[in-house]
Amino acid sequence: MSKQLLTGNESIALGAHLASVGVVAGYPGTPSTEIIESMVQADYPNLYAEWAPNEKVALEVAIGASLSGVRSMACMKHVGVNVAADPLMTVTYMGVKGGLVIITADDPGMHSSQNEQDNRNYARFAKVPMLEPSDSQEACDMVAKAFNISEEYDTPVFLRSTTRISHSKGVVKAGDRSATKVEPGFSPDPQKLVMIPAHARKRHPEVLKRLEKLQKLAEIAHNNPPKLNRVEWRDRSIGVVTGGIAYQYVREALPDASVFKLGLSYPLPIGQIKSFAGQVEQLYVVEELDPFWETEIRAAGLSVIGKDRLPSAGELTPDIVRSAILDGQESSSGQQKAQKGAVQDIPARPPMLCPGCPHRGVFWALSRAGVNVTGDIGCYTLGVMPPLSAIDTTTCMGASIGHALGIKKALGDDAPDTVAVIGDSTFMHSGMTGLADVVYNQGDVTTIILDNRTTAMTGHQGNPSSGYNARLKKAPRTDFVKLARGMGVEDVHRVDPYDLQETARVIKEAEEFPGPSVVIADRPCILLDRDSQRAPFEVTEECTGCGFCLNLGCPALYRTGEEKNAPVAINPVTCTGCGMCAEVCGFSAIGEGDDSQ
Amino acid sequence: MKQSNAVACRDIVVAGVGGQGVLVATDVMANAFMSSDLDVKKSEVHGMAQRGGSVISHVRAGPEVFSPLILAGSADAVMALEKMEALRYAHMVRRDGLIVYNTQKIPPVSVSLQQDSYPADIRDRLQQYSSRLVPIDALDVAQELGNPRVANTVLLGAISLYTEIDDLLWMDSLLERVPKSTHKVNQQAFERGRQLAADTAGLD
Repeated sequence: MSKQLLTGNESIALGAHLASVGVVAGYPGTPSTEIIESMVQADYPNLYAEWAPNEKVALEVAIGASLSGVRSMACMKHVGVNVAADPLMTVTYMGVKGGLVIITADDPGMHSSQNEQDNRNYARFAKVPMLEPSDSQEACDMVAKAFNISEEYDTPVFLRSTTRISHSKGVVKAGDRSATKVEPGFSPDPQKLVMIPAHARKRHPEVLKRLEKLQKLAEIAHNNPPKLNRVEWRDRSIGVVTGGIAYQYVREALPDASVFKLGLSYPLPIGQIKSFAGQVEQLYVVEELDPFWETEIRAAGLSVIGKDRLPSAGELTPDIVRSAILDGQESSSGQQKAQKGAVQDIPARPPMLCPGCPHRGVFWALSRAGVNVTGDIGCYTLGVMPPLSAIDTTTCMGASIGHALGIKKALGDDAPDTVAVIGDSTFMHSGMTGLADVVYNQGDVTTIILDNRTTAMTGHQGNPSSGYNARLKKAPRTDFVKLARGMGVEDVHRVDPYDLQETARVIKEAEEFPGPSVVIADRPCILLDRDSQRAPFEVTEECTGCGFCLNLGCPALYRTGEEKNAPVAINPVTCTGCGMCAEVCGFSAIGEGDDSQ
Repeated sequence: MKQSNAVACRDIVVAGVGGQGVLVATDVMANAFMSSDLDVKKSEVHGMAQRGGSVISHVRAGPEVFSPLILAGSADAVMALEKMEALRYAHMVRRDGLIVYNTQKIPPVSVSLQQDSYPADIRDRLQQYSSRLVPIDALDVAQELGNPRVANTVLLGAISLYTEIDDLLWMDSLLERVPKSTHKVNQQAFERGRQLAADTAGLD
């Protein structure tokens, strides 16, 4: 097959197809999203692919498929594994039938995440082997290896990617397609599959035995199939244990160093690493985030340089690796090193809500209402950015509603007016249980569901409330009004967030209602709903340059000059004609553009 | 094929504002390198960073490429789709490297709110990183051609002059990545950009 230029995610998708995966489930999350997306786009045969409401369900679906003898895969970002950790920690006792691979796509540097947890720790925690590719070709090839290990050792297998693997493109040559030897079919086996205490007690020792076998596999994995690890002998004054993207940085920064490249991140081939250490003058460990390998290598009694020179926070870069090892510099912050020599005194350009984003209407109202706002995870988290500055907390998926209830219960009658803001996809993911708590324990909390009918931040994937599925086919749509009423919320409103006055009025009304309220801010994402875009608005000569409209934080609005009252103009390429700026202008100086053009 | 300087660009940083098309531009570039039988790697960032923020992508080509990220101070070229973004990533370019940039200014919201000011001396400051500057009013050219969205293509045309990739491979890679209805205007934009760079190169 010819070579292709593929991202790590596209390579994992291709590798899964080549390994004859039958069921794939996931929840969108950067940097993992394009794995399922590209499998659907490629329209691989004999594949069921779905977006699940959350990662826990996704893994549960994949486990069900695996127990039916079908190769299955669950895809998620690093924090998604936290959500899926409950089934994970027990399926490790149960084992698999068809191969079961869990993709964890970590985000060192937090390009699009709330933390940068190192999910290699989950491999040790769950006693599950973890494979880690260093480029697109390996990402493709390792999927079949992961499925084979899963079936041979009766274990789920992690494949860990990071942003720089998932979102880097590299040249890939696809290998041959392989199939599982497992016969499809579900056969009851309660001793293995029903984890009541009596059964689980017998399974735990099996997990420990399996880990011993995997440790033996690790010891031979550098020169026997599946050839996951690799020793590269060059100059022996420096020997580096590394893996994942850090391997590429080591090769770039230290082209002459000898390298023990780990493709099997866990368990470690400690015997082989000892032998490698004995043949180099100085042993280094170069790994992103936690001292995961370093801790094990030190525990084995080896002397090694690692996190005493390299940062545990932030991404590594070739620059950081080079200065840490060659110059012996201690580096406290990856970010600092990466920015060495960079201009520091120019204005930052943080991400913003898009022109025409319907969330802007809600945050405009909230920023003027003087209430506390507990926020959630999605595009709308950008409501925290100035000038709207309308979010006070963001923790994890679904947390907004529980946080609002906690504030209300903690402070009682003294509690500030508090509103929870959550997107439609996030509400389906893990917001419903928070709302159930508000109703059940009678919290005076207003929940605003920002219903833009899609999972926008990750690139417009469907969810149970959006009306289309992973294959973009029509799907049933959860009705938020009926859902809220069914859960016991009496005060339920629906409003168009483009109508700023009405939005402010409805939020106030809901907020004043004593008891649980729900407001559904109902308008599709402007990027999804191109048909609703109108001709760009125009600023007339009436503009006094007061700049009030700029408080909307719309990137399409800008001042035409540096002087204090320079008139505002609208970028005709990016303006979508939402009209919010015209609504807030006190001088009627912004008008609709000519639609006929 | 004629080239205006001895060392062809292989390690290129592309910067711009989210939504300007950094990813499309680097896809075109990376595919053109791959068609030239070089190993290629390209890094990009998705998700939150794409929403109107500063975006950077690295493209690397060579006999064997390891890191998808370019070492600071070693890029052969920085191509910036916006003027201030050129300055933000100017430290990535090597001493005698090339900075091709769009002279279009997109003020961040903090500038419009007059909490920050847009730097006035960008050209002078870029010169502290490299003397080889290729400023191009790509938006103006694109608007002349009747489609402001092809500004990126004008810059790709400009930088193409400094690569070892054959023009035809560049064009194939470009037309493969853009909508069919825009093939003609993209082709014109690419050629105009290449011509503008050739004119500027005389000043080097």
